[in-house]
Amino acid sequence: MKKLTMDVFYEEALSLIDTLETQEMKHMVKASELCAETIKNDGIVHIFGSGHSVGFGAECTGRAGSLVPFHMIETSDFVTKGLTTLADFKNPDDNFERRPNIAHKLYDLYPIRPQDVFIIISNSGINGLVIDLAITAKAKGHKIIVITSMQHTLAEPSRHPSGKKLYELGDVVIDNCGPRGDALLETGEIEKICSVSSITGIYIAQTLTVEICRILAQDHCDIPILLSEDVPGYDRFNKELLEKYKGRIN
Amino acid sequence: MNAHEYFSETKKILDFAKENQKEALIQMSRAIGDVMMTNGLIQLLGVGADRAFAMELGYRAGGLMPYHQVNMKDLVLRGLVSLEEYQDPNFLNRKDIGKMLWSQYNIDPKDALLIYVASTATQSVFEITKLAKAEARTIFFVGSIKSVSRNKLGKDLIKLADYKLDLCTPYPDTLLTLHDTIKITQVANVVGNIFAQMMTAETYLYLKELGQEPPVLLSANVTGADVHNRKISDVYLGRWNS
Repeated sequence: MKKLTMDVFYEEALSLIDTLETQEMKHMVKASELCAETIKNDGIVHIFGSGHSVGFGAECTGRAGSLVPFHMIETSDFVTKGLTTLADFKNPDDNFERRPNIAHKLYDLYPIRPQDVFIIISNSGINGLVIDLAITAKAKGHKIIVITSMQHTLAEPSRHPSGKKLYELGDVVIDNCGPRGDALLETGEIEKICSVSSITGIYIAQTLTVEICRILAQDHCDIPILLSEDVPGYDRFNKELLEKYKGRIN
Repeated sequence: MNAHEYFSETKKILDFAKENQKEALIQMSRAIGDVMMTNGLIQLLGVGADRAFAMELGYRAGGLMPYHQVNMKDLVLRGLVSLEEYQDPNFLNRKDIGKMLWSQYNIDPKDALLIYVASTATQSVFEITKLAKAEARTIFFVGSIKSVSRNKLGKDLIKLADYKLDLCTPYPDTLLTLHDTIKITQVANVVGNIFAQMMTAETYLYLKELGQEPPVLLSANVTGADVHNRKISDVYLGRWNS
């Protein structure tokens, strides 16, 4: 067994990123086509992931070089928007993200339009809340893009009363290529170390940005991107763009 | 332009950063291991999109237990500021919120502070770092040194750090050119998250070589994981989840 140095992780992580690029590009392009169509029709891309999957939304919203019509749904919105208490949200005996039958309340919090699309991220793809939100959004006619670990989700039973897993609800499914349990390196003992789903998640988020912009440019559409402060006139451009989507992305 | 370019360009930056920061990665990983051996926690701080690094290290399967996330949103969740205040574009630069947030947690004298600032320092992060420094804590800085040090606040922030890890990413944190001067996509968090996991591997190795049992969180799918995770978390009860 190889000594577990940071270099070992680096090599294995880069190999996994190569797999993602080769194996999942066609799905990422298809997902980008759905998002580009939504943006062309003045729609919003809603992003929802619970737990560490929140990071996916943070990666592609509110930054210079990011698309503006992306709205991040956070599980903590249940608390900040007064639907439940912090104590209930953090109840260790009733894990919030595993609860079914509450996602419709989350959906109703936002001014969602029929042309909007959803990206739902869950490494395991088996928990109540994400599956429920996908069911709710699908029932309302929205397209669903799922990001999950196929290796993990196929190995575990669903925790949702329907028995469904998240990937079964996706119009497009992107495999984050992570291993079961998310940790990449074997240690020779019970534990594995170094999780990878957030790393491949960033690559998926950035790929969607590139491909959506490419499609919009190809179709001669406006590209609603936040400009960085080294671009002349960035301030006014960004303000106008944010104003256009005000109330729908925050 | 297409997405394959993003993969190839980030690879170049990653390879450079990894080679350039090899020694800094080892030193920081070992210093973090030293804090853990005293039962100290590493308090992880990043705001906005800079939360990525804290989320990468805090309570992950396959990660080390002794990390705690200092999360600005806790001020809203705990009813100390309103959601409207929190969403104000100037919120993170208010001078008063750093102390307000830091005082929310049960921070032990043995704890250290790790700050992640990809590009731009904010007043709130600076205030917390000053408080931690005044409390004689070890300060770890991770970020793009070129980007963060382009103004006085950033320079002052970096000066407070005992250990520095440079992402070696450009300013602005944008990578591909869409057309003319318009750039899209970012790269800092790719380097940041990979560095975070490299540090996990290196700290794990360091603790093992010293004969310690690294407190690794198991995936919930491993038999006995709940009992194991509870056992290693309870050492920090009221601190990691304060």
